[in-house]
Amino acid sequence: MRPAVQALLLLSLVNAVGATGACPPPTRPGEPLPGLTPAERERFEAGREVFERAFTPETGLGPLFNADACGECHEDPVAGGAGDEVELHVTALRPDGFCDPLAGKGGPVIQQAVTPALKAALGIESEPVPAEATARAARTAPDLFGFGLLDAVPERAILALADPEDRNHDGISGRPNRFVDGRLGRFGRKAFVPTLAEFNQGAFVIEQGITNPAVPTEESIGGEPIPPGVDPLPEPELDERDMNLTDDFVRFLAPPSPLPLDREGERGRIIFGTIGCGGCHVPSLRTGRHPVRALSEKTVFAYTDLLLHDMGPERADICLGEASPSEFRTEPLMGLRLMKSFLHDGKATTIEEAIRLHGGEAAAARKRFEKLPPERRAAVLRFLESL
Amino acid sequence: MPMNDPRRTLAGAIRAGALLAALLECGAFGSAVAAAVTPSGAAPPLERLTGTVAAVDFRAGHVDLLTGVGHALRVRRVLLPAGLKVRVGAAESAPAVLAPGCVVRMECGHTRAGTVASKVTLLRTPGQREKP
Repeated sequence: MRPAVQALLLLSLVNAVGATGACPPPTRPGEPLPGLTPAERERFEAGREVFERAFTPETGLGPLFNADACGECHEDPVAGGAGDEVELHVTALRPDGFCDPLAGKGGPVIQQAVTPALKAALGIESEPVPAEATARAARTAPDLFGFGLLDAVPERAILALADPEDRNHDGISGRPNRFVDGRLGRFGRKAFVPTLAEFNQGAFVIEQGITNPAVPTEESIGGEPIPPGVDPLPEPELDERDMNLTDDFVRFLAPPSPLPLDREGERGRIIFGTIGCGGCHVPSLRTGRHPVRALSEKTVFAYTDLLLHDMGPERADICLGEASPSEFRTEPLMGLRLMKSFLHDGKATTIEEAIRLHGGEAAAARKRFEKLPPERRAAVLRFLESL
Repeated sequence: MPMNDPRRTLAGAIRAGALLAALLECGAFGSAVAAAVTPSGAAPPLERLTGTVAAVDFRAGHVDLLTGVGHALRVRRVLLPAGLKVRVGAAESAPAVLAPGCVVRMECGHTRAGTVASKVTLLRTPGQREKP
């Protein structure tokens, strides 16, 4: 056996031990991170209640919204999982090259539902799409498992993976996105949002119309103010305690342990790396020091680099921040086996179809996958279906 | 962030320190802006904004600044008083250096006319590449 193969097998053994948590018992979808303190575990459970709480107009829902609860979209197979809802995002790529998220016109998220009071006032059933929009994007609800670990990865670890000029000539040139204030982004399909807390705080408002201490103002209605009397509950509609509990629930959700790999799956895991998928779907990241011990200095087998990559013109939709229409963040593959649709827009219904829809920087790896003999392709899929 | 977390105490102390520093720093410039904009001459409340310039209208003397939390984005119109300079590194430039896509940090006061910038620092230009 060649030394390189021996090294790969050793690495795979180490990975398997880490990924399945040979020491701690395997975690199932929806379970908290192993190693939480009793107090953290208590907040996780209390946060789940807020996450699953169905809001009404009387408790703050709307007047524009996509869902009445976090758990309405993040529900499959358990709270924190994926959903079958598809929402609408719009932006405008202006002639001067500036990506306008159309925030002054109700963008970038266009809410698909309204409260009865707003419907009575304006006669609309969803937020109008701004005329200035140059592109629309369909967005599925991903699972949130392991996102707390992704939040705890130091910026320098992400930036170390960036290769915007493709200096190593591997055809892959990941680059970071930046939020409106210039900070490194990592959450969302375009890696636009810097932190999990901000992602959650913003999501309450754009998805449910629930204001909170971090975002005390409602979304406009296509840029127009909310008619008087339509949203009478004083802001913020969610207090800091419930906001933080929800954040703790999401932060403490564990990535589901991968299923044990048989020989075929193990072979597929190695092929996944050798055909170049791991150039973007980097198998593991390491968290930095963190006040929560369960998040501190942990290896997370997320299969992402949290960077933007060009996926080709056929996948292109909206720009966002510094991300061009065809650039998307490498999707984490934690819990992949639980998904029923794939890619940012849910266009693929199987993992194999998702691979075949990879273009741009991923085209070379896709072609190598397509050229594999059937049994080796099956091995790769076997591995992916274990995640 | 968990409740009763030591990080929260530290973050609160940092915020309080930053606010105090901003108040001290802005005292001098704030009074100039207040004299120019508010009839009473009283120092307006201060606010620090960091965001992306979405639009500029130098004739009208304002910029639209993109701010927000997560995907809940907001546009803030900020007035640029005559004579305001933009700090670019160690140098100072005219506001004409600002263009859509620039990331700026602003210190602002609130007056009857609206939000008025008193200090502007250019942090990032459009398309600025990451250092490899």
